[in-house]
Amino acid sequence: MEPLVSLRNVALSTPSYSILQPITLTIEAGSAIAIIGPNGAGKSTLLRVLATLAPPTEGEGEVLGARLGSREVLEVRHRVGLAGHVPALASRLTLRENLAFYARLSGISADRVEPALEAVGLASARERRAADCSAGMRKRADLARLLVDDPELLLLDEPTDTLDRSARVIIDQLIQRSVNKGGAAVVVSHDRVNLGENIHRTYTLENGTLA
Amino acid sequence: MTGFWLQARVLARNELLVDRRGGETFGLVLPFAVAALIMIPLAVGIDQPMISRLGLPAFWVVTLLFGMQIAWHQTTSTDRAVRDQVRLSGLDPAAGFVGRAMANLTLLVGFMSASLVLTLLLYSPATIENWPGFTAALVLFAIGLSVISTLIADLTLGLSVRAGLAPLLVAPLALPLLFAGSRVAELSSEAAISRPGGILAWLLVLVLVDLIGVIAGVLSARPLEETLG
Repeated sequence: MEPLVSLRNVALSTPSYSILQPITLTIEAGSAIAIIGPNGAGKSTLLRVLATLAPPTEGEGEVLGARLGSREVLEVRHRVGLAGHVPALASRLTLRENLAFYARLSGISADRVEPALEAVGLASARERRAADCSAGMRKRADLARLLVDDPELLLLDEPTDTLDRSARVIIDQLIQRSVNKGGAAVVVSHDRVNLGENIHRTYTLENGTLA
Repeated sequence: MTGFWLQARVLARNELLVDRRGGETFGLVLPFAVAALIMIPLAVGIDQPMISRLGLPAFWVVTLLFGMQIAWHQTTSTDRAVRDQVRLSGLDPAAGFVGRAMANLTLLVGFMSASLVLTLLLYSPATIENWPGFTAALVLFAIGLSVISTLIADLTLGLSVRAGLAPLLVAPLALPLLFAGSRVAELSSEAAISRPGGILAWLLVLVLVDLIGVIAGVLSARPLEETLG
């Protein structure tokens, strides 16, 4: 079976410095991996590469069968779910409006928004503007977006930041759901303690090098 | 995945909702434009023929200067996390360009309508006889300004000097619109109504600028997004 992600000597650099050294990584369907590394190691950049948002400057790779840096990625992006360390919420819109916007854009019924907000414990705050929510609530709303999307490739960047222990159950559920349906999950964190229970393999990333 | 026009419409609606919540166009930019339109007659003094002659040129200049403030400032393209998520929603970059331009166009049409009413009240310019031609010029001007501003907004994405640079780039590119629009207004007035052929030529200039802007925006949308994303 073809892996969901295959990177071969993928590197990313700007004209002035190198962010990621050549990385070779394969992620099979049904697996959940973690990438641990200190701040500035390149974890978030690697997630953006996996999300097809940052094309590599060297090497080659495929995500969900689409060649990185090609037009093919446009066809698979809606199957990738990314929760970055900054929640993707427009501050002037309510939590419900934010999630409904992304759902409509993806062609998903906005009816899935309310149950998702309920699942993350934000049913009563659904009409509250994102700007008026705490960091933890915004993070929960971002996870609710992933429940609506139900992505095949789940990418979580420091998912437990600002979340209390009860909310961490949601992250475990998201990972388990992706794995069970034959997808994959990648969690990056600066701290091994923050990883969930469903991780199959752990890598470390330091100075842009994966080991 | 959804269709091109549905994506464009969803994005445009979202842009308009965010703008309405912030009250930027009608609560912030419009009052300053009104102030500018009021200050010009105050500066000229009680010289009714002069004020009347200045009316439509003042309208076009105010529309360009304040309109581009409205049009280049877009919401979904400024926040990186939101921008990433919009891309991951499977948005066709060209649909994104069209959607943002559609939102800008809606805001500009509203802004220009309010400014025009005020201009007519304050300046009593020469009577417009050819309203269809004048209206067509207004709409084509708004399309052109929204398209150019959207393109510049995309081009300057991520630059630290964006806020200062974007209006400076929009203004010269929009000069043909300003020139053609003001010529149509002049030719639509009572005194010039005997030369209807001239209006058509200037309207065609506006159509041409709009078309160039749309084609450039749609064709450059993906390379720009992938390069600057």
